[in-house]
Amino acid sequence: MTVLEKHKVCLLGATGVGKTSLVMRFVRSIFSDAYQTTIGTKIESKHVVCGDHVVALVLWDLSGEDEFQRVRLSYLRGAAGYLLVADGTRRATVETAMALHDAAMGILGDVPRVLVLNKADLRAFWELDAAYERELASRWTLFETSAKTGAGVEEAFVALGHALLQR
Amino acid sequence: MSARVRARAQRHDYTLDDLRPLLVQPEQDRLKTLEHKLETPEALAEAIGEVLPQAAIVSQQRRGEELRSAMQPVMLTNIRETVRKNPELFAEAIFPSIGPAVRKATRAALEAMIQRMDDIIQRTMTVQSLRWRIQAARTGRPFVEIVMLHNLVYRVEHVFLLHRESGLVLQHVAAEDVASEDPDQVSAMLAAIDDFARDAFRAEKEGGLSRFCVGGLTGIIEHGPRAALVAIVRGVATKDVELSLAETLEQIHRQYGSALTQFRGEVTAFEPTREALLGCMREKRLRRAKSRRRGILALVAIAALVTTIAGIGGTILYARHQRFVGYLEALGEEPGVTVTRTGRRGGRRFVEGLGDPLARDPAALLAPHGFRASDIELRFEPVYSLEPPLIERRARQVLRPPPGVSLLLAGGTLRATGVAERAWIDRARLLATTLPGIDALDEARLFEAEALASTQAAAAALEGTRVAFAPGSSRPSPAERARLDAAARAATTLLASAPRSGLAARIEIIGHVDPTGTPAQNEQLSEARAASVAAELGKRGVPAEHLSVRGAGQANLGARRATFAVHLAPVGEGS
Repeated sequence: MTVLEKHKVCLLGATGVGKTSLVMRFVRSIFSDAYQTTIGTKIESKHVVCGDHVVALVLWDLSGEDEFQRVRLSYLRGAAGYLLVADGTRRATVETAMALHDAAMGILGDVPRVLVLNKADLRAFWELDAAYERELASRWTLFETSAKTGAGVEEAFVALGHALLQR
Repeated sequence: MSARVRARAQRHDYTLDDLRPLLVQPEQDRLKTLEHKLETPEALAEAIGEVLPQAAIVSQQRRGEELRSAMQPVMLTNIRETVRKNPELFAEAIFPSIGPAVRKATRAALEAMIQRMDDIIQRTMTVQSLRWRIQAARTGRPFVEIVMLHNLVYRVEHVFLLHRESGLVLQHVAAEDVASEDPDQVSAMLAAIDDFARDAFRAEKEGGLSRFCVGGLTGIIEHGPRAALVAIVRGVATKDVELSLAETLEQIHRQYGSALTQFRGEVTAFEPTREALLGCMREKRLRRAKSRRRGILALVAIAALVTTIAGIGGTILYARHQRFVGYLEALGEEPGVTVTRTGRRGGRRFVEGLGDPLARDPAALLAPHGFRASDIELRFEPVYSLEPPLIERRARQVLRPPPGVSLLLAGGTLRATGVAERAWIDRARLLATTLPGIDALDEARLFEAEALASTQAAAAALEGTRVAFAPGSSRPSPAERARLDAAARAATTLLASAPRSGLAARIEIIGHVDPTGTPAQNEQLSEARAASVAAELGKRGVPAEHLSVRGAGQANLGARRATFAVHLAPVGEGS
């Protein structure tokens, strides 16, 4: 299989939603996590198989957004798509994700993206009501994932890969 | 209207020339103006001058490289001509930039020189030089090649072509023997660091990270509007590298301008840039006649050292070999030891052979020849040796001769000499011929200790015997018969045992007289008395040939008697 396309993809989300934990088992990284706290991003790569081809995703795992630090939005430049990560047990993180989405839209325009609600293994403790989830699902390509079990992660990447390939 | 025209008009006789001014006068005026502008150089220059800047901008936008290509030869010629005609003017123009340029070039040259000097010091007869030689021997590559590898001024190890906006790798080439991490991640991280640096220091947008150094590596980044080239260089990169990056990047922008602008992740479109990137994979090695000479000197020195060491080693080895030969010769001369094989096993000498347990231990000969027991492995199988010294040793070990008995082998006969007890003699007779190499026991000169004792006792008894005579009588008195019997028994015993103890016995009977007679009478009587005792002994079976008589005569006047003297002499020395 040949690498057909190569894309820059950003991982965005609030602090502590488990972005890094989420991808750790699915990506290849030659750099230490320390870079995230020093320059604000860490680079990983992920190959997604789409039919007969492989799409190479170069992931910019940006440090989380919270009241003390902002995502360095200049890192979004040149991204072909992004993966928004929120924590199902903290509704505020979904709102942060939406805010980051707005910022990304401002820089990148309407590019492929997926929304990931992490911590599916703690679903009983989720703060999202059914109506809100339905609303999110209607607007987003939505995945429920668990960094603990790995459920849903590969699917989220494959969906994003497909969307990038079909642009 | 002129009079001529007015006249013609009255006649209605107009020519075309007459009508043209009337019909197209304004256009003719404009044409004239245009002709003036085109045909008068000053006017033409003024007209072009007005639109030239705008024309250049439009041409650059619409025709890309064409204007630059068209202008380049003219400008180059102009510059060359200007410099030739007015060097001062040119010097003045470049003065502000020449200082930094010279400083930069000097710094680069100095760095390269320092590195080269460091290399020279490290190369000549150092541990590193030896290590390179070992490396050359181990890898089978020529030494010169190894030295060259270690004497690069610089070598470009990686070249990345990056999409400027996304930081994605469009193409990557690396030197053959260089390990490369995931180029996508490396380049993205470089892009991130570039962004970070620009954000952090609020650098202008057109700028960017252009150079970084890590250990012996230098990263050189050449930025273009759509793409960037990154070279990772080992050593001190010269301007050539930056120049080649700039040229290659310009070429890529020319050829792939639209692909770069419209890039949406299709990296395969940039596959053909590989050749251009390979063109940037430069390297510069040191070439110095001086260092080659030093290399030869180093080689000569090493060769001399090796020869000396080999000479000393050879001498030591030869001396050791000679000592070994001497040891083998000594073993060969040793009775009861036979060497069957010698050689080396696992770097250690060995000697194999056969050895009589009674022979000298081969290990005992090591020290006199300068070897330690650990130097030579000895393996000797036990055997019975039939060499005479060993047969003698074995005879002595088995027979255990008493003091006074010596054993000597002659041919197959063991000759025992001396005096021993009968029991030992009997045992020796029994055992001697059972020993390997002994056919017979010669005991002609081996005597019984008991026989000797008996001889000595008989001799003492005899010499203690006194046979008395009546005055003037030459015949023993009848009362002396018992003494004569005892003397005869002692004499018989003596004569029987003496030969068994290796002695020949002679019994001398001496007659004695008292002082009464004349000397002549005494002489005669003393002899007569001795003879009569001899006759008495003869009567009692003592062989006369072993007896001798003598009269003491006047020499020893005293009691009237006969005494005995026993003369013993070793057999063969005469009686």
